[in-house]
Amino acid sequence: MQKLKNLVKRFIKKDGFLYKGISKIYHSLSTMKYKITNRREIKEKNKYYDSQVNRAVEILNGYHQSEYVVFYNPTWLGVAASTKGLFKNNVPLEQVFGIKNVQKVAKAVVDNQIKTAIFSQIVDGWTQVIEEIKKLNPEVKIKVIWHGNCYEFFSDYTWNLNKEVMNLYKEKKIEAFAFVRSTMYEFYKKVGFKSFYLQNNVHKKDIPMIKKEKTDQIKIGIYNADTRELKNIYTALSAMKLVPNAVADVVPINEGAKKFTEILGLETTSINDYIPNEELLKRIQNNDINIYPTFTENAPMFPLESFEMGVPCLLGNNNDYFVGTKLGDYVILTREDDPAYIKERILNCMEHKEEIMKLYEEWKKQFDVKCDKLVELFVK
Amino acid sequence: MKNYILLYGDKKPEDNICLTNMFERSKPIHLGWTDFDYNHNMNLIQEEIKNGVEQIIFAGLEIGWDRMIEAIKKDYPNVIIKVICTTSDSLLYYEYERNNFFRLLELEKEKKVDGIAFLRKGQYETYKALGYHCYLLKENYCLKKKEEFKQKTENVKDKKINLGIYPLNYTWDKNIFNQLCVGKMLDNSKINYNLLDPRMKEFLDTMNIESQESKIQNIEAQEIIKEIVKNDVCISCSFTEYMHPIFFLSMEMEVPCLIGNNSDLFEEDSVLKSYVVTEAEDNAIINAEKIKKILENKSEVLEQYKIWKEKYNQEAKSNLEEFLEK
Repeated sequence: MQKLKNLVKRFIKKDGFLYKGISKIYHSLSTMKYKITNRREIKEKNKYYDSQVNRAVEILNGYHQSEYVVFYNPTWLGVAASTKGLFKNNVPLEQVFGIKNVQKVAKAVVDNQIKTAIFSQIVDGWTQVIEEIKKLNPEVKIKVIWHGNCYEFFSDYTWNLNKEVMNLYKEKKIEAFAFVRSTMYEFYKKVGFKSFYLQNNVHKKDIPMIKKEKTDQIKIGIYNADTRELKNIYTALSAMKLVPNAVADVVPINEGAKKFTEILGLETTSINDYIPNEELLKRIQNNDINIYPTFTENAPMFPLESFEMGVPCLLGNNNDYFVGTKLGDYVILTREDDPAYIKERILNCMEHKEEIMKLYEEWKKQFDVKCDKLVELFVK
Repeated sequence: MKNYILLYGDKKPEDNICLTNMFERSKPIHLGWTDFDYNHNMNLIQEEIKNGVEQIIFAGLEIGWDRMIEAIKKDYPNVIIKVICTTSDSLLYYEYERNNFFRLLELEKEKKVDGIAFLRKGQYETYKALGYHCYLLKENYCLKKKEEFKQKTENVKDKKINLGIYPLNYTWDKNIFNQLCVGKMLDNSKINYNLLDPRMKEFLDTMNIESQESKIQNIEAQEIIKEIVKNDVCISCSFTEYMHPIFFLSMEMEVPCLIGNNSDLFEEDSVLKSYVVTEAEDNAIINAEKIKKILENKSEVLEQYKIWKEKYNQEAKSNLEEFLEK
């Protein structure tokens, strides 16, 4: 089948009519085949998706006549944490499949007389929910928080979603967008979209604080960095190796990264498993410093979580945190792909750790106020 | 200086622009996928050794080349083998790059490779500290037929600010979409770009950014230059880069070029660096501002480049000599 596919591909133009027709038929047949061969599994999944829609409807009933609600996908951990850190009336909702489920969610929004429905990023089926809400009551305001940056348009999934929401905006079904990075906010504003600016925030007062054991080693952490190239894990590991007496805590660590630590002769306490966020936040308290030298971000949660746990975190020059402050001079990395530079910044950070944490506390007070104001403007 | 030859494959043509420019003697070889490729390469190498080559330099360690290296060391133990690393640590994310790089380190440990050259200082320091025999090279491009290029290329600049974006690969590290955004943030500008994927055009049209696409068919200096000279400024703000052909070709053609902070080309406090390097590769607002500054100070930027390049040429030459001699 694959050989036939490749043969056809060789002879027809990718953007031509014939190619599009054949790929549509191919897609429909593959979907049909999948549905037949995975009947039971699909039934189970549908049951699950139905039940999470019912749960969302129940939660929506609790927000009767509210000014706003915010939908977020609880399985997208970063987006979920960001949403919960900013808003109060939150509704967890995963993919919405089937017209009945779409109608159920839309009806619950309209029946509960909710004035604004905010969608924190867009998940499969949510654009249909938006259209249905507008059909039932055009007065309900719809706003979308777009957490990605333009880098992500490299992915088919993100680009297609972006096109869908842009079309909904043009059809006046979406009233405005919010972006969590100033460069995205300015860009979309200039393109002509009604845009708001938000900043992700973290409140982690409920995590128990533990006392770090004193050792002669420098424990450096890097987390959730093994799945995407832009997380830059190999440079981070090289940088750790250059720090005298360093121990790396990498969670999760994949086979490639593990072999690399062996080649480098880098001592680690790493494990190859995802651990729940609360457990992770307890774990990082054992570190002297965390590093997050990623290439591109919007408003990453981990650096703030690290600071909240009392551990300074170096982060890439790719978000709006700490910009133009003394704290930023200490912790923002401007050469993310240079291990020797990152090593120097780690040592510098260790030397000024107390001052850095004090600067963070001051910064955070002002940041909390700023975040609340931005949210207020957005939900109005 | 031992009689040498640089052997390069066709997997990273943008790196070849640099390396074939740096080394006087170079030849293309096949990637070692099959026995046919292996035999072809070995025949060429044996011929070179017969003709007096004492040192073989590989541009990267590509697939199957380890087999050749082992065979050369077995049959000709006196021939020196060195490998120029062509990947940054960041790109070790890819299994192909990672496996070949790990294999290269193994070959050095087994003394089948006599030395590894890095073009990034951070990498050089890391692996030197780990006990590998390392060299530090500086990439260089000396366009010998610069004037000829200039005469041949037709300048088609219009009244807009022409921004050239010519990534040579459609890969994540080229940060393509954030670079295209700069066209929106800089008033009265137009993007001239290398169309690597239809999505680039779709994005520019959707975001209503004025643009003109072209298609670089062969990744060769002359073809890239033809595009570069259409512009007032070029942008090459990738996330991670091992060699910087667009920067050098552009500056040599007197078209200033903004690059990401992912090279060891400049001293920290260099005036040229303050103009042509952005520390925020994915920030279209900052990069539009940097371009404005470059345009306002274009003659100073080009002057600083000339001064810098003269010194840089000396350093690059001396590093290269050390690499070839020791």
